[in-house]
Amino acid sequence: MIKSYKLRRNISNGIIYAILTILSIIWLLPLVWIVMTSFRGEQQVYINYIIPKTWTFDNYVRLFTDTGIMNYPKWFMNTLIVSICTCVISTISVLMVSYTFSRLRFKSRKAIMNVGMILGMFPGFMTMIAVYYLLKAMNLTRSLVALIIVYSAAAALGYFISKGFFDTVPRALDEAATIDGATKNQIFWKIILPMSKPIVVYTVLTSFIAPWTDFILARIIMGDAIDQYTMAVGLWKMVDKDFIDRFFLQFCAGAVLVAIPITALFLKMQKFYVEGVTGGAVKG
Amino acid sequence: MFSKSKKVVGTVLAAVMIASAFAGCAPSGDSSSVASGSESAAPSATEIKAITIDEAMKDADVALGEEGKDSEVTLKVWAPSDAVDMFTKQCKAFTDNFKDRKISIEVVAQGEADAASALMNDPDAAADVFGFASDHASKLYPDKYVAKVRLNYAAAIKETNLQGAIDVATYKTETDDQPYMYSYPETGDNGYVMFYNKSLISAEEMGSMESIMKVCNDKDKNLVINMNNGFYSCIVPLTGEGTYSLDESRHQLLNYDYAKIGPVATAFSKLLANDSHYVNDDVDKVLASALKNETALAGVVGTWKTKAIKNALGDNYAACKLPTINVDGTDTQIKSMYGYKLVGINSKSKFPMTSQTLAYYLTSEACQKERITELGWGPSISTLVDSDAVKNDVALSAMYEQQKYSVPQTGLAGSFWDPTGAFGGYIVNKDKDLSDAGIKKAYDNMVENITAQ
Amino acid sequence: MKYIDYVQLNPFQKMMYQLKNFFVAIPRGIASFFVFLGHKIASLVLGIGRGFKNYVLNFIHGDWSTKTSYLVMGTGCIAKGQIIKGIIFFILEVGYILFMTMFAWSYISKFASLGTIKTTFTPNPMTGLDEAKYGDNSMLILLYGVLTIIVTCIFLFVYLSNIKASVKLEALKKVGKKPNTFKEDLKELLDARYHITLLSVPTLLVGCFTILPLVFMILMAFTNFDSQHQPPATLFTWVGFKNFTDIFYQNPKYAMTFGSLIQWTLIWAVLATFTNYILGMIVALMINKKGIKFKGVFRTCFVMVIAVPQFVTLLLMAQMLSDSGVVNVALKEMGLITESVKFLTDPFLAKVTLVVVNIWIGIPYTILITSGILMNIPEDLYESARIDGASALVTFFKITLPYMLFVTTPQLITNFIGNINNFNIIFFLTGGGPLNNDLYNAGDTDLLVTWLYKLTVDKNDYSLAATIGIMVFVICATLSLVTFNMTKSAKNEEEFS
Repeated sequence: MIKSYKLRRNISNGIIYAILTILSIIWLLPLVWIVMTSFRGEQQVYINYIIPKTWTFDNYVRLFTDTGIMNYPKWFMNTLIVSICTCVISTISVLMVSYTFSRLRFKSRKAIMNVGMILGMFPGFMTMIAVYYLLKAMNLTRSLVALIIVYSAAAALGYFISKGFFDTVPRALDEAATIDGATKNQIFWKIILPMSKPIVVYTVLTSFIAPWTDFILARIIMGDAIDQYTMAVGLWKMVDKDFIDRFFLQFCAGAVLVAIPITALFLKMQKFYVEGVTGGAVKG
Repeated sequence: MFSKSKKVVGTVLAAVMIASAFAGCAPSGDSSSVASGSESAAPSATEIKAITIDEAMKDADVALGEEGKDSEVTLKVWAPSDAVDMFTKQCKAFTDNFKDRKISIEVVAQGEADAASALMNDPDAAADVFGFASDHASKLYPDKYVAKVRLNYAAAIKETNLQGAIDVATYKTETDDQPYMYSYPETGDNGYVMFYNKSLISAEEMGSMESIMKVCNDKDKNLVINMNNGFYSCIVPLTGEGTYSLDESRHQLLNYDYAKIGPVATAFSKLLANDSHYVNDDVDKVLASALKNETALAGVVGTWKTKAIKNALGDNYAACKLPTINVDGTDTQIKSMYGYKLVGINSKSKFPMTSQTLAYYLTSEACQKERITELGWGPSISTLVDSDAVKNDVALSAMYEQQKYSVPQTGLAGSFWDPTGAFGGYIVNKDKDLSDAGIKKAYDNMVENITAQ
Repeated sequence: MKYIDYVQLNPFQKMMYQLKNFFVAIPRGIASFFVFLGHKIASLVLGIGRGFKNYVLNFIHGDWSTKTSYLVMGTGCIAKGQIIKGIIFFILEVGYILFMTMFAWSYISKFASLGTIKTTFTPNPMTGLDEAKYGDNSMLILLYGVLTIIVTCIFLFVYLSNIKASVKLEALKKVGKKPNTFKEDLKELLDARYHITLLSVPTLLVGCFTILPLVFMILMAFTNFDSQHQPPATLFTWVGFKNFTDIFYQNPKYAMTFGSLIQWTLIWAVLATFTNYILGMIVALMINKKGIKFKGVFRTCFVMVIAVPQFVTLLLMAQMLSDSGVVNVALKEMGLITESVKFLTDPFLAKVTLVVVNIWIGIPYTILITSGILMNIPEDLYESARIDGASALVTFFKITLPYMLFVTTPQLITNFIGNINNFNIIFFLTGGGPLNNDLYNAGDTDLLVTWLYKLTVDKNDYSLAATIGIMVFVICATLSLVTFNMTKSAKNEEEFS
């Protein structure tokens, strides 16, 4: 009896191993393919076989030397600058807003929260033309500052998850501190924030990654200023039909280089990501 | 005569400029007083004297007015990515010519296909001088997103350029008393031809669609034509002798006759839909690769891809006009759309004089000639079209050969492209209803969508 | 029905129960929404009435400095000792007046017509070239008009609080109390009124870059801002509900496109949300199963996909799945096909491809998020199921799924709405294609949002795009309203604190 149970378990585990292995391969194959292509020697966009016949490191070198039209190093720096600034501003902003809604009680709290929720339901880029002209009125189009402002401005509306997280921090802590004479300002900075590492890291992580992936807004704001492009717009431009014959392999190399730091960051921080999401979102 | 009175003319011109500046309006254009010498200060339109580019380049006052004397002129030029280096070089030659003026020119990569919409989205941030394809003329001219060409430049251009190029550059807006030129003709080759691998198929076999498909099947190679894109798939209605135009509110009018277009559509459909050696794909992206891999032996693509395809095919590189197709028993030459590339001046440019002369220079004979050999761009200047440089270029000579069987790409609204592309994709898709009734319905749908208000 | 009763139902009963709940809730949700709206409007009207009454009464009963505050802001505060506060009020008033006279008036005064002066081009008699005289720019009038209205609302609020402050100070004086010093006011901002401190900057930013543009776009739906009316060359104007009637019935082509895109959008959202949810959970269960080793390795394999920026994976997928892409090449080399499979250009296959690629992208998220919760499911539930001899499938549908649904409904709604607005995957993979002549400027795989994008960017049909944006909002809002009403988590927010 026990033996057959063990056998059955082994068989079922074996099947699961097989399925998981196959799935993992499927999930990784595209990534393997792009790494492979980034080292390909044959210049054309498509080849009619799978494994490249010649290998080269040239595509990476050209990414950093052939910067006349496609200035990859500049894009990288642009995105990094935007990411860091956005990440600082929006983290502070999100935490402030979510703390307010979670902990402070004031007259129009519910109303403001509802407005926030309603705003989130409009398709985001519906507003892009108006945003463009506002920025133009401030003489900020085609600049990184514009991106930082717009990304950080929208961030506050994403208070939902971190509010959920703050809701789980016991209220008794605040009350005890209030009795000890702490102001709400002190409670926020000295008591709640230090306890909320997962959600802080989560917010930092998501707002850091956002500028690396946003495409539409950056494209509209930057227009023809190729030197001001962020990674996403630049790489997209590389595979546009005007450029693809010249830049496809560099695109692959560029994509690999973008993915590496973000993947490393993400893998290192995924624990916090999970804690943040499950702590905040799931409970709602 | 001109060189004698040059000094005087220059002074008068400068005086006029200053006067008009004092009168409160920007010195926005040229002065036809150039023509009448020193006495007359009130010229009329009939007295416009042509200024050739050489004359303009010799006299900064004529060419640039006051611009760049006291403050720096900064211009932005849009050029397609392949041509950025070339344009940078040519712009440098331009600024070097006017050493005593402070001019700095920045050349930015911007595809001609998107230039018009990029300009319209934000004219203030757009280039001063930019290249665009002639089908966007109907968007740019009526609302004057581009400025008129200086009248005495226009007079000279009209004498040297192909008539077709001048036609697409000329327009009469609601407020104009007569047609004016609104852009500088840049190329005469904005169209497509058949590129092929001459080691796999001979020039005679390239003569008809039927023989091409036969060779494809014999050798197990593909033919690539993008029927999903209206720019290419309009060969169907055009071969059926369709034409198009715009009404006064810029809605598309079609002069299509299904009795003629229907059989052409059926012929394409019968020949291609069920043949696995015909590939309907985005040629701009795949053709160079497919020819290089030798999965394809021929394909139709615009001449802007010449460079990439030349690289891909090497010694086997060849090009010819589009083939014939057998419609109801008669071999009919496939007709195509044929456009020009034009250079426009942003009407909001802060330096209209310099922009005008720069555009004039960039489209001049010398610059066009340089671009034939370096970029393979076909010229719009008649004498260059007959030059050896063009005759020696396979793609260009095929282009000018195809031009005889083509409809000019002008008088098109934005609504033309997608429905035409959808129709093209329909007739070569074997999963669709390709009976006569099915094609008729798809055709009606296309016409309805194009002409919908 | 309690949760414990619910768990004991069989799957079919459960589904029926959920379905019943869903449909029962729709009318109730909508009805309660309107009742709620009615209450709000009524209380708003009453509030305004009361406010106006107070406004007049305060003027009659107020002392001289309160009375002057009605005209010159801040005098009430200054006269009663709150000098800095008073000065701030005064500066705000001056600023507002300057804003109105120097900038806003020229726009807001034309708001009703959106401009009447056309741009004209007159040929210069000397040169024959055009000189442009730019007239009204309808778009800027609309944009800055909205800005002015918002600024005015804020100013009105400041104005009223200026009066309120003066009245309050008067009352304090009567009972003989000293007014707050400026320093004390500031201190209050860190404690009792801390919410104002925390919310002010984010609200300002959201107001500027979300609310203002949104109001602008919503208003745009009531104009004829399309490709034929492009400022600055031509003017556009108000057309009322024409755009809405157009997409519903007036213009058959629009209506047809709108209808079929709504269908596909909803089908897509349901498929994309639930395939990810269920398949992701199954994979998560497999990874987390007892006795499976290398959990970290497997999880990392999946998580890698999240870490790579999404546009990279999407551009990559588009490349791989195209007719000459590596997938077709591989299939040909294996001898499975002779002709390229049209993954992205066949109407039906493209839809399937989108769902599959979405699974590829989405499952890792589900794995990450659900892993933790899955571990929390009480082990004894599984234990008893195993003793009853239930198979893995049965336990999944009887225990795991209901439990997860119970816990993650809010997440699910968020995902669903996210999928309705899922622009990236469509845009990068198929671009909405293949083209379809039955539709107006849209392809077979276009969602409402990608159609909106195309209308804006390719066709400059801004008013139609704005109308569609509003419709997308209505769909999302209705769905979340109904579902939020069904779930308790929205109502019992306070319970957790």
